[in-house]
Amino acid sequence: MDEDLTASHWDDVLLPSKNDLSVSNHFHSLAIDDPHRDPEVKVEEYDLDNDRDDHNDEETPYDEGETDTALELDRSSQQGLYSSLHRSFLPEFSASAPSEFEQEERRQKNAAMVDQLTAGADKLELEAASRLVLEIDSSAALFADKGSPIKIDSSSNAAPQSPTRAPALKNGKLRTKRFRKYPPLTVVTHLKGDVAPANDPLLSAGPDPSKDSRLVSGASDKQKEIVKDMNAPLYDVPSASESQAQDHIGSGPLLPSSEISTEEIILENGRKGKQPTSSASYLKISVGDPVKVGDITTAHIVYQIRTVNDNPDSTVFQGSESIVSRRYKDFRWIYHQLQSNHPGRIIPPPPAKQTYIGRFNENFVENRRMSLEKMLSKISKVSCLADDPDFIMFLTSNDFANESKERESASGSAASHASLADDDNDSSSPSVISSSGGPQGFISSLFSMAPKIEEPDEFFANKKVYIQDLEFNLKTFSKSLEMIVTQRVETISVVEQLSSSFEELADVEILKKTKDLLSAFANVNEKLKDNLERVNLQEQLTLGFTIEEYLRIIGSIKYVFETRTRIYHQLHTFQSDLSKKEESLEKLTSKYKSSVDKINMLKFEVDKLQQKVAYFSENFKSISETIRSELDTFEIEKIDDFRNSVEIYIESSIESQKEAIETWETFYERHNLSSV
Amino acid sequence: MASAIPYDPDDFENNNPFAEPEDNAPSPNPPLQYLTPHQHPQYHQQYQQTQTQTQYDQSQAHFQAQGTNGANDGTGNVAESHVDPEQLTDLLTKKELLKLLPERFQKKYLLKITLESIEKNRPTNPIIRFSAEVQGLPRYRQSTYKDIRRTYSEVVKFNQYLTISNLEVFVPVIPLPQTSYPTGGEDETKHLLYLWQEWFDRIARNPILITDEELVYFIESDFGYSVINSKRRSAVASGFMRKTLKQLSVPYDPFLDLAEFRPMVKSSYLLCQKIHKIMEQSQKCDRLLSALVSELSTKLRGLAQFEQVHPGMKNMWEKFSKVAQTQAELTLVQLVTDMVSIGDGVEALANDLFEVKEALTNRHLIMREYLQAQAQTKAKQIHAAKLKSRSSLDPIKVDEAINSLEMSTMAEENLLRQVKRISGEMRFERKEEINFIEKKFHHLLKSFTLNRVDHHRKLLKHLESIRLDVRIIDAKGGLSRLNRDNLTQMKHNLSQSQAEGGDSWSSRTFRSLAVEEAEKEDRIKKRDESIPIKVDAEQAASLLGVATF
Repeated sequence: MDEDLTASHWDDVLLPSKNDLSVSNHFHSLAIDDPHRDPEVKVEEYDLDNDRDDHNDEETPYDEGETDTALELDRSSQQGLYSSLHRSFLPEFSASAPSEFEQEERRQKNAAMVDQLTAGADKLELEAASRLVLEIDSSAALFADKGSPIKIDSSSNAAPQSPTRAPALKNGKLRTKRFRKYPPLTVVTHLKGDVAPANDPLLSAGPDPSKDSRLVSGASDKQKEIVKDMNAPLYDVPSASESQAQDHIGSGPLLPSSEISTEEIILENGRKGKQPTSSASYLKISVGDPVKVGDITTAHIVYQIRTVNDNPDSTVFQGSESIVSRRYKDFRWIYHQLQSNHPGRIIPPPPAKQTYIGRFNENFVENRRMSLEKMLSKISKVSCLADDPDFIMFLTSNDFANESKERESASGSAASHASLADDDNDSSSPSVISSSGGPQGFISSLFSMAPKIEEPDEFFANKKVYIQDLEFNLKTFSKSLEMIVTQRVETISVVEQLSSSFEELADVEILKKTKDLLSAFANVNEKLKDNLERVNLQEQLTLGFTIEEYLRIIGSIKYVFETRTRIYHQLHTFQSDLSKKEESLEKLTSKYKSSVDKINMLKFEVDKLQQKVAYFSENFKSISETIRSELDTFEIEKIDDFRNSVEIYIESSIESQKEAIETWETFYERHNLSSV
Repeated sequence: MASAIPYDPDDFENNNPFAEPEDNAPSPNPPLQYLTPHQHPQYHQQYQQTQTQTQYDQSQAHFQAQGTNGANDGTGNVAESHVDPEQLTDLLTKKELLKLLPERFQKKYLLKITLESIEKNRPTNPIIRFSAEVQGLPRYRQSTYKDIRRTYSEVVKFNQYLTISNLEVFVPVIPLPQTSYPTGGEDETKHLLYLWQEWFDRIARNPILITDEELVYFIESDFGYSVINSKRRSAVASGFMRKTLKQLSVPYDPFLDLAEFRPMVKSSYLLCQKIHKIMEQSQKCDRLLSALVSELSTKLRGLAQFEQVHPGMKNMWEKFSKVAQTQAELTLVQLVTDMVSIGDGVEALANDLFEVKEALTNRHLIMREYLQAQAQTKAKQIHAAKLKSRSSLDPIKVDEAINSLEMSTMAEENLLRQVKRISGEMRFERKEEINFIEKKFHHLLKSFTLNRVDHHRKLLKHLESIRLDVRIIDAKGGLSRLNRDNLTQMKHNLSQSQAEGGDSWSSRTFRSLAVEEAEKEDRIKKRDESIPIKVDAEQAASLLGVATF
């Protein structure tokens, strides 16, 4: 699996500059053979403890290590040396390690080993890595720009220094690319829960998420964010000064300069992160062509998603267009995946599930298709969601079934379970992963014994009430709309009957003139029926559709609230624990008699709890902030959406009234009824 | 079948399906003119002969046999009538019609009934107040009668009497006491006035009905009229007997138009009933829909109250709710007017058509009676012939035979005349009825259309009036302003589409409602100008009729 991703990245990178083909091919083959990985890893195994101390680049496991080396080499422009180094590795290794080993096996082994090694450290490592990547990125981007005429000059300035620069940069870029597919990293987070705590010596080093399995998702989210940070600047063309710096650094001494530039770019990154220029607003997504596939037992509808990327600079979304087919389940998957990736964000939800019967009803499929399209386009408009690697994967991957599983297990989101076990009452069901229970889940609250905690923020308390009221209002509105629609269907059938009866009466042919009149009247009724049908459809598609969508979004909001409450609960528990422990610690320390061991134990625990509390309170703060801003956007969007749908509804009703008037007037005029 | 009745040429005359009472059919007429003078003396002569003796001319017997054959079997009759010029004699000639239906050709009778008002009584039994003007009709003591008051149930009885005693007429059915308009409202009164005037006009225009003796009592009697000739029983079978007789095959009908009329009327009647049922269903649907829409309006109001963030949205929801409320009310109005125009109209038509159908059935029954009488006469004749051929003649038996033959011949003749009169009259009536139905349908559909146009126009107006409320919610100005710069300078195209000069969406300048209005005003003006001029019934009807829409 690792291989696939690598390959695709390679291909992508290769596309713009063909002249590097031979080199990259060379490297590619190397990567596949993995000759140099083992040695490196082994080295690290030995050096691990030392490495940890100075959180520096050298100790990086696996990818990072590789990159680091590459980076250093980059900086010194000693590509020849580097490649020769690699080349020297290759024979060495192939001599020492017999090639009868299955390549796959070996890689997996390696990966597992690396995982174990890197387990606890990933966060810090990642940060370090991201810095590195950023640094390399800027140069890589510079290089990638080579194709465009404007940039040629600047790059040619740098070029003369060594003829082998281009391949070197290429290498660097390729490596950084590797960061963007994190299977190893994500695997780490996944494994961490079970394996890492036991043998990772670094547990106490940072806020340790691995002790509490619940934290996994949170931690992984953090990772994701970091990964995103890594991704974000990839397409950022470095500013002139920066590139100058780069040039300068490139010729300067290795490590210190890289430090400096890292700092710079972090700053840069922080700035950019707030106004991310991503592929987001340029994605045009259309869902179409619903096709029924499978036999009786597995029949389902497959929708084709066509994504057009109008932002060629985007590096998140590779290529300008992709067409993939997904089924409804997959949409649910991406929804839950995004939910767990972005706690606090209101994710545009997919349409509600449908009972078995009527799944292939034309209207239903069309309605669902529209809802799905709306969902995707809404997601793509929120930049941080649109840049979510899972979302990109969802839009582009050809092997969705496997990749989704992989990513799901990587992030621990259990999205597919959530989508399986799912939400007939999307809104109130607490997610499967954590059973600590929101205020709604009675059973779960019993189990977790979580005391009901007062909402700390009045804003949220108010909002919760507001959302509930809104939901109630919308629900009743939607219900009465629905009833109108069904009633109108009945009216339509009556009009149809009337029309056919008049047609029959016309056929009796009392007089030729009367016959014409009656059949014309029947005809008018026929038209009226069509008109009514259209009105009905219009009502469903505008008001009904929007209300349904908002009911679903409210479900999402509720979910977000729950996530927040859950975090708050945990924070609360830890806080109370902490105070208890602190009390007992105080008692113990005030008594001189108590053993040092115990005190130390307690101190250790208090420390840990403090870390946890700090972590959670930060988490809680950030999620609260996100929710606040999300709710604001929700309000704005709500106004916009409802206004638009009401406007469309009114305009279309105006048109249908005009049509009706026209029909009747024509009938009146044509049959000269004014003379009667 | 072989019976030869000497005075039977009349029967022959009955036989041509192409016969038209008017002389608008040129081809059968020339032989007719040539034959009738020749035929009639013969008829009288033969009639006298039968009174004195049972002997008859052999050749004529042969000739007659052919005729009856044709009349009874109805086979090859049309072909024969083409082949044999003598067959054409059986046309209902104008002369004969003159004799049979003198009322149709006398223009001297005139009855004008002007409805004055409908007084409130019990809801199912209103009092109808009208005045009448009589010219040339016998037995009336005055020429004008004022303030005649009849309760609904009295009129019902009178109507029943008319149906029973005038078998040859399609007696118009009286309107229903109530309409679908809200009870006691102005609209209902107007509509009822129109309907009653229509009924009186139809009665007064019918030459046979105005000569009915009961009409004299109906008009002349004081308050508290009851049918004087109440002893008159229906001349035709009724009840179970009627049902049984209806099962038998229809007797041969020499008049194609009348023969075709009954099935047509019957299917129209059934269809009208069906339409009425559908209209009722539609009324129910609309009522539910209206209730639901008004519920939606309250929901919208709730949403508006809930919307605190954006005043524009609040305003939009409120306005939207108001429009929904108006829509609900308009739907209610629409369902009432729909029901009045098509629902009630079709119901009245169905009742009318039912009466027509029954009258046609009565004709069939009388025709069957006539056939029976004919068969009886034939049997009597055979009996008499047998007696005659015997060697020894018993004078008592001969007398008896002759007498009974005479009797049955008389009865047969009587029935024949009745059949002829009914057939002749019904051919007039049929045309009138068809015209009436046609007119009625035009009228119904017209009022229906006008109501619908009105409904849609009102709704359109209301919908257009809230456009701005939707658009001003934000500076973007709604979807209509999408992707346009200088929004502040752009004007909203919010003008009402139903301006004075015609509808903006179409090039058609004609507008039904405007035309109606103009006509109405015209008429009112005319009436104001011509107050001294007598308003005749028809004009009054049209005036009243228009007033409801």
